[in-house]
Amino acid sequence: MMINLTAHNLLFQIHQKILLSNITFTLTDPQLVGIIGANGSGKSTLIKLLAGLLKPNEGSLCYNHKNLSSLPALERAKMISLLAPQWELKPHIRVQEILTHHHPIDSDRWQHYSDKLNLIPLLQRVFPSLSQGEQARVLLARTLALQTPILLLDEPFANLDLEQEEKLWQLLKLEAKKRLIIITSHNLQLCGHHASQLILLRDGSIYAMGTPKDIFTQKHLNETWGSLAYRLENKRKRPSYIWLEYEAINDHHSYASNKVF
Amino acid sequence: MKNILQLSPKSTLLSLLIALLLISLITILLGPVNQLLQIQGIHYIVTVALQLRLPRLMATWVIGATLAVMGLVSQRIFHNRLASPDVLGISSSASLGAFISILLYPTMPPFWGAFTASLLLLFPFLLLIQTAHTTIQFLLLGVAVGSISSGILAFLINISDTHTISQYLFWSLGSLQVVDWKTLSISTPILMIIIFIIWRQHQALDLLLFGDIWAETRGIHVKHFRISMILLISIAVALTVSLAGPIGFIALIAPHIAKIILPHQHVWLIPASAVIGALILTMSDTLARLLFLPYEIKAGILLNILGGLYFIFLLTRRNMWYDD
Repeated sequence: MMINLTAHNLLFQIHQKILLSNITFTLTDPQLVGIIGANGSGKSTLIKLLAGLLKPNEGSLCYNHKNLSSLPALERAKMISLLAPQWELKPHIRVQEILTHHHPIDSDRWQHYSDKLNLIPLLQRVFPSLSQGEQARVLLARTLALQTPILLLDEPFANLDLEQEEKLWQLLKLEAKKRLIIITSHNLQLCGHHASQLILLRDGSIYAMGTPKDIFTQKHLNETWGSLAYRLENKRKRPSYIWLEYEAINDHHSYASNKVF
Repeated sequence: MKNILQLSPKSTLLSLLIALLLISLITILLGPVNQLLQIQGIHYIVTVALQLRLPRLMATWVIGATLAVMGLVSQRIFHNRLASPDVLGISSSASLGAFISILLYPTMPPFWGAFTASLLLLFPFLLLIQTAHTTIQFLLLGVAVGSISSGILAFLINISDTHTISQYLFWSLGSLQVVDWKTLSISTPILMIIIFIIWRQHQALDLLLFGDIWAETRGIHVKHFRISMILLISIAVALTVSLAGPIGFIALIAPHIAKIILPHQHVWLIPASAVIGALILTMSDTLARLLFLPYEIKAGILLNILGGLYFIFLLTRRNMWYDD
């Protein structure tokens, strides 16, 4: 399936404050793309622009050479789906009703994803009674089941523990063989391990874009996260991991991320 | 999707309709029979049924159904299970219009005064369309208009004579006795059309369940949708309040009951709320008519009391343990 998402010189501002500028990229082929950057660098804003929730002040965003702003909302909905991190509403419905909302109850689609995300025991539970992590998984299953060619995820793993997060990354990597998945994340380790391309944002513009190997140079790490992140090469052919070091006022504390890997 | 009684949505809806028809039949037949029956016979019964009870029944059906559906939509677009069309300030401005009408033209039914006053409410909303971004702005405007209307009304009551006040009170308790057949027959098609338009939007209402962002990414222009729904609700509730006075609780209770017995999809919830609303209002009106023979009380009174009891019952239910 042909997928071509092109952004050209996007500029977005609110009330004189420029949130995103000079955003230009082309993404073709189904793949898993990670958007990383410090807080406030514009990750969520970029995702919202890609989803069509916000309109760029300048520049163009095209999907398969069709300008997204001029597409009718329903057509855009067929191409792009978004999982946003702030779900304020927790309607009192059962999980099964949520998942079968857009599909017939016998359809395979939602059953496949609810199986993968371990939702079968939760099907008859009411949404507000689930834990944060369980709610996150339900909404992720619902979004995945839509099977749109482009899937946007804005920090979907915020409420999940490490094991679940790793499982979901693997699921997304499998899904990314069929569609373009763009995901923002703060977990540099897992992002670097699973994504095939990374976009590093800084102060609202693309600082670097490329494979994790190209992005995670010490220079980039220093400039974006200060001296907190170190890149360590691991000779045992496991992925290199990022060591986070935190200096307290009086003591030195070391905090290793993801020792499991 | 089956409910507790293991009925499919279609069967549940059908059962509700049958219940409504049965209750309506009983309503027409029940009532005081006096000596005239013995003189006039069947002709008298038919007259009473057709000229008094049938129009009243039609009023309860139409008004009950409308209030219920408008309540359901209010709850959806304001993302709040306790929202009702009252938050838009329509009842208050309609009451003000009714009072002015009674004050100036005591012999005329207050319908036109109430309706005009509540339509004037739409103008601030139309102005707000360009600038409003959040739900809360609409709510604030509704509360503001409601407050101001109530304030002006209180002032007028203060300076009016007791006869006008008692006439207004008679209207404001919510009664279906005074519904004028002519205005009802004009209002009914309008209300039916509004309900039908809303029903056609059932998918958009479903998508709103999970918030504006989800609905927007699934193809709904949330802002436009919300405004068009508010306009439809305003017109419909303005009509019902002008016809029969402010009637509370149906807009809150009927959608709640519908959500218990039917799947959470608006294609079923809308007609079900309509039927349940009609059922509740018909039963209340019949009880109001018969409970204190030979006196008739207002349906609105019964609904207020029963509504209050229902809220106490709601407090005990498990689905109130979680925040919306």
